[in-house]
Amino acid sequence: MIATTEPEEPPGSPTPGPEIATARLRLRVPGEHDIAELVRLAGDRRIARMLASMPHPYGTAEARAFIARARSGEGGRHFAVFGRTDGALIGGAGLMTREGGAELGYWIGVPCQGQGFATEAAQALVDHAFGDLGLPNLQAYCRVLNDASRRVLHKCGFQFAGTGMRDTLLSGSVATEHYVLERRIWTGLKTWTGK
Amino acid sequence: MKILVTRRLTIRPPLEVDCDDLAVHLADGAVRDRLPCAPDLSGTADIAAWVKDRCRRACAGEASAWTIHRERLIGVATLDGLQGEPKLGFFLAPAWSGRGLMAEALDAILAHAFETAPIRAVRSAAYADDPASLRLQEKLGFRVVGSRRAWSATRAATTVEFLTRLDRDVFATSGLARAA
Repeated sequence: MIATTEPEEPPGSPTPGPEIATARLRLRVPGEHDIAELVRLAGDRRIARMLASMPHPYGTAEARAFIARARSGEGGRHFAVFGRTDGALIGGAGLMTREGGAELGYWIGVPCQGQGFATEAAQALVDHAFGDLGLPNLQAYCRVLNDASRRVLHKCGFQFAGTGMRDTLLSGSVATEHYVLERRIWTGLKTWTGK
Repeated sequence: MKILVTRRLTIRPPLEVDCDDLAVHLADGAVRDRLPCAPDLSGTADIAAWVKDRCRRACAGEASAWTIHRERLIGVATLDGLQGEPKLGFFLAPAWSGRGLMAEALDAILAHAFETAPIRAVRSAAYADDPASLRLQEKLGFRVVGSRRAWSATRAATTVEFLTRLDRDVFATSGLARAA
């Protein structure tokens, strides 16, 4: 179950975006007070190694740039992912605008991996993309050696669409798998409420 | 809605977009010949109705159905009678057999069923001339509990089938993941 609400405007945030809550997570636009944690988690080389557009090294300037993009909505919808109960920063997720839809992206800080947070955040964004934004389809990419990310995409209903190469900021051109989730597949899956 | 992901497979509820693939598989005599209770699905319209009915029954908590995908749809599994002792039915397209894929799929489906429903045991069956199905079921912990002669609509003949049963406790200790 996902609740989408407009939050109270955080200090210093001129254009707060929607907030998405799941069972364990809260996805919202990050603020200045999140910079230190963003730098700590996103600055881990193991994160940038699996992502196309994560800069490395990741310092205060990169965190500020991410926050500015999230606030402005430039290029799509960008969220920081927080624990719902303790409010601790866990990772990031977003929907990047693409022709005819959007591209789903996500990352979870190394200390928080392996607990299903990426799947929970990704499923929430998928529902947001189709349910709230009315997008016709979603794209996603993962490195061929990223088994965990592939599992997340499968659990969201994405279907394999091919392999290819993709440029990344840290690792140059890497082999990737391309996945697509069409709106009609998502609609079909949502009709199944049984076990 | 739940999507199960195993090492090699994605397992999810059947959708309308699966109808063409299902029609191809169910038209295959080698598939139909192995199904003790193949539904009478002669075209995509019948299959679409089957998918819709399956969805309705799943939402009512009566049954579950899964399509098994390895990039494309390669098999189906169903559990009927979730409020009692459900009956498992399944098929795998012949081109994909012999690689342990069905065992991998059924292990995940049974684990999910035992975890989410108050089921004490699952029943199934295998034709006497289908030892591969019996081997697969025994690998998962099923035991033969009887046999009978039954009319097979797909074969248009009376056929001997073994009746099998898997107890929750047995699966907990002998399912694939536990046995590994």
